Amino acid sequence: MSETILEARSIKRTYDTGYHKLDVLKNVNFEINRGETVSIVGPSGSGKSTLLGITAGLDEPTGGEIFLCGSSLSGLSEDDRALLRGKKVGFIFQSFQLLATLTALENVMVPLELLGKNGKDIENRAKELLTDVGLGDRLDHYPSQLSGGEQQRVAIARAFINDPEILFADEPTGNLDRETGQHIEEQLFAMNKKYGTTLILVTHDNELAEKTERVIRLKGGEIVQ
Amino acid sequence: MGFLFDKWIWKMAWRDGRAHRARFLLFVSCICLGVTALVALRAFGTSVRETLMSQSRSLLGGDLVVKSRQPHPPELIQRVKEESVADVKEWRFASMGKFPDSGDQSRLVQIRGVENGFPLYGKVETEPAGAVEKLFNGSNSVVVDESLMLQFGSKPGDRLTVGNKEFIIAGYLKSLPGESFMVSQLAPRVLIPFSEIEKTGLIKFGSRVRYRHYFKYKPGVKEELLKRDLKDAENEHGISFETVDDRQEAVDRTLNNLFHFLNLVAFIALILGGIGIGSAIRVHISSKLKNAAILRCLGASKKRAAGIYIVQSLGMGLVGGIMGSTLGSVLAEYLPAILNNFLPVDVEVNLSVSAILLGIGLGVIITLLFSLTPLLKLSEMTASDSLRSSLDVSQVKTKWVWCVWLAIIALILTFSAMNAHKVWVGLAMGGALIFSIGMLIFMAWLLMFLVKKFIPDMLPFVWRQGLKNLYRPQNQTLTAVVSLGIGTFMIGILYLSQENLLAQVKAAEEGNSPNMVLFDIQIDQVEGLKNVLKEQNLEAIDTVPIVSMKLKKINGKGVQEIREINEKLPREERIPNWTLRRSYRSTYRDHLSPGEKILQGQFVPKINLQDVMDGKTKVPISMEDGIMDEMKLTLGDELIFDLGGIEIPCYIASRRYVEWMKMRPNFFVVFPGGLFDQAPQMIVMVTKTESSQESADLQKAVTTKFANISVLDLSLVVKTVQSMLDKVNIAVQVMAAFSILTGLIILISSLHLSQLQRMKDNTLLKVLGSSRKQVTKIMFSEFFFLALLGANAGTVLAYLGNYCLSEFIFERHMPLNWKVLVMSNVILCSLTLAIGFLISRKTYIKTSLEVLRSES
Repeated sequence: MSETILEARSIKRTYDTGYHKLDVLKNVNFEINRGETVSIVGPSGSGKSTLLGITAGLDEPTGGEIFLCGSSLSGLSEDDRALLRGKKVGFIFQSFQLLATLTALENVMVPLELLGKNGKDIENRAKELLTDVGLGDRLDHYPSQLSGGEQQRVAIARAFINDPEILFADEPTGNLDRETGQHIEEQLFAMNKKYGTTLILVTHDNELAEKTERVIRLKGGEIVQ
Repeated sequence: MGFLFDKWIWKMAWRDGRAHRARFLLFVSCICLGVTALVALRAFGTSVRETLMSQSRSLLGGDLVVKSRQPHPPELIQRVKEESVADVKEWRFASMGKFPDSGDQSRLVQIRGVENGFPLYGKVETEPAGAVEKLFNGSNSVVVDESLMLQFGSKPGDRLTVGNKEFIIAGYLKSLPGESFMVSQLAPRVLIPFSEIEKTGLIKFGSRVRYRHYFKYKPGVKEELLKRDLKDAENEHGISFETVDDRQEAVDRTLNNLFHFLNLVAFIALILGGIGIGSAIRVHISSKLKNAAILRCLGASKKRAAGIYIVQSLGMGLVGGIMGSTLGSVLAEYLPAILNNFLPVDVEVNLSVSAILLGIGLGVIITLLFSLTPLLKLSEMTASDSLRSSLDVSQVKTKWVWCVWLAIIALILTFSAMNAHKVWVGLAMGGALIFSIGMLIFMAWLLMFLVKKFIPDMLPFVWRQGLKNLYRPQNQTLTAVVSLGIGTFMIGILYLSQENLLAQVKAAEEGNSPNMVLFDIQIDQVEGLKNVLKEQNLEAIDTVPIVSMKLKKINGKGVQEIREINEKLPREERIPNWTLRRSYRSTYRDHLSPGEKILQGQFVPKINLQDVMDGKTKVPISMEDGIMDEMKLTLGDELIFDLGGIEIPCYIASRRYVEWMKMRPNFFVVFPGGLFDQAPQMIVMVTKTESSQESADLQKAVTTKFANISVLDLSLVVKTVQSMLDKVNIAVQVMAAFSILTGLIILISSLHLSQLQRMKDNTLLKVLGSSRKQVTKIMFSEFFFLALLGANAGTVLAYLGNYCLSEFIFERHMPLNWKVLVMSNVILCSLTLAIGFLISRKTYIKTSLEVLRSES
């Protein structure tokens, strides 16, 4: 029997704007098994990114419970959730989210440095990952000196450096042109396969979603399929 | 504080800082200047104290000095001589000095007759060197203050007449041990041989001579025993004495006050730097929210994410502190040139480790305290908060903000209290500083609020847009306005107060008020002097007799008894010793003088002398309001004065207000008219001259005919006050300059931080069809209004401060001085426009496409 790595139980998220309450997620339930690749799809405003944020522990649900890598997130403080992410989770964002003041190499090393690791080992590992994504010759470049595709490749390398059990990718090709986007998709799936990571992908691109093993469709804050 | 030992935080802080070196250098400069000023003052102050310690004996000129206003009792002097290896006498008195080689011009000087061997410690520095030795070789020489030589264009070898005696000027004084340059400003000194005093013919009945006798102890003298004997004589003979420790304490107190004030002025620069760096860090943190959010997503805890920026702030404080301490240590070398006028010794400045450590410590603490609010807010934000691009750090609420502000207030009060000689004085001055800064922030906020609320719709678009730009998010307008305002306020209030003080002194000359005082007049000289005045077409406005007496009893208690009781009382309940010991130079008249009014009781113009003699009545006296408060006296209290051995029993019949600034002889005690007609007395006469020529002619005529009569010229007093204020002002202005420079750096930093947004706005306007000229006008109006707000926030507060000073301290209505308003606006507008356009030059260099691309 497959082991569950992520479970969402009756997740609700309501935003209080001061004038009215907005239910972004309404009673969302699902389970994802270790090693599975899953897409969360839906139109704009359906609650995809909110769901991703909550399942990764970046935000707290108004109701319900999340179990990530065997831990209930509701029992953890914000810092404990951050520690869990640092150890077991990888992230890829639509807008790359690289630290502008760090070189490509330094950006990739950050997650391991956060775990207290230092020295040549992590530097070599970061170089290896950057070489894997085809940026072996751009190690000392700053994000502003890289193209959008290159920046996303740095983000992919960074996402894998801590050997995550689960990888969250929020519209990873959303800011890229079609050709570059396809190249990034290939790289992401290749790396995911290589390291056997569970992949949760948020996208509104059905074509990309079809490349995953399972698709969760959201509409109006509810799972419709 | 555990984050301080987290290597990763330091590494990230360094990595992040690489991209902002220029920005950080600006932030650091804010703190650096304040630290520079403080360290320089502290290092200088430490050196002054060290010098005073090493030269403590030359501060006094001996181990002990016995002083009094009457000749010292020989048995007392003998008692001290038994404990001494050497002694010298010095007599001081005011007189007119006439310069025959400068057209017989004359002025009031302070004569000091000194014996050979003076001073017992230290050295009199003269130009030419050794001129003081000529005083004692029978060459009929004198040494005078340099200011006299300059005033009359004299040179060594010229003649100087003092009373009936003509001397040759051997040289001028460069320094006299234990006395600062300011002393010579009050009354220029003339050193003459002691043996020649009699020959001047100036020591007569009623002459106001101050007798001093300096002693050098034998080795192993028990000073405490000697002091006990002198204390007895102090009460019995009305003498006072001063030891090296007493002098050192007095000098220390005076210098403490001076340095405390200057330290506070310098501290303002540091606080301003703190406000500047705090505001800049808030903007910096806001631009780093995304970074912090990414790190949180990647697994960094709140503390670690915020720790990066705390460490950066710490680093900036440290670098600012080190840079400031280094610059301050260098600047300290140059401070003697500004402050030596106030010091009784020549000071050589040494490196002060304690000043350097204090500078670094304060730099770090101030930076951290003022940066703490945005840093705390950053640590309060959740990862998802930080990812929301619309959120600004200032929108986050934290309960710790009040604690930070309380800590800042506590720091200011502690610093002020620690630097003052009395804690309450320090706290009061610190409180005043906090109040002033608070008022300025309020004033800046109020002006900004009013301008925003009432931006006139009829203004052309470019002016309205420029004004609105001041209110764009993260624009730091309030910080810039406050920082420009502080400098303007400091210089403004300094200038207005000086004008106020001078106006107060000059006011004495208004209308028909006298402006010349002639004193030391013997009773038989009155008629002759009136004739001299008549020859000069002048009138004796008032002729005032002066009778000297000592206080013997208050309400039946002897002065000695009161002094003993005093020692058991808390300080605030004591009757000050000076009021008990002093010689009361009083007058008797049947009218009130102009500028006097009765506050309580009734002024008694006449009394029957026989009734007093027969013991039927006591003398009703009028006492000055202030001294009654000092002596804790009320109407009806009984006093006994001793007039040449005769007891005069009195009671207080009226409390009298005296306008001391009036150029007339003013008195603490006024007796009824006719009472002392037969008593030995001196006369003071007042008159009014219309020009400096008339004044000079009168002084010449008086000194020619009556060598013993001295003349005090109001214009000379005004000049002296002005010259002293100028010297004080230079010292304060140098310290205030640090605040002004810090203000300008904050302005640069604010404009620099908002430069990108300004460029983006301008580019968008260009894209929408704005011409280059219109963009320039918008920027012009933004910088122009910013300067106007800064200049007027400071100026309005300076006017308010000056109004309070005029109304409540000087009790005089001062007309609005437009000069400050005009000057501050012109100077600040020019500076802000120049800095603003220099910083925003990229708007003209970069094309719209470049800006839009860099934005994307």
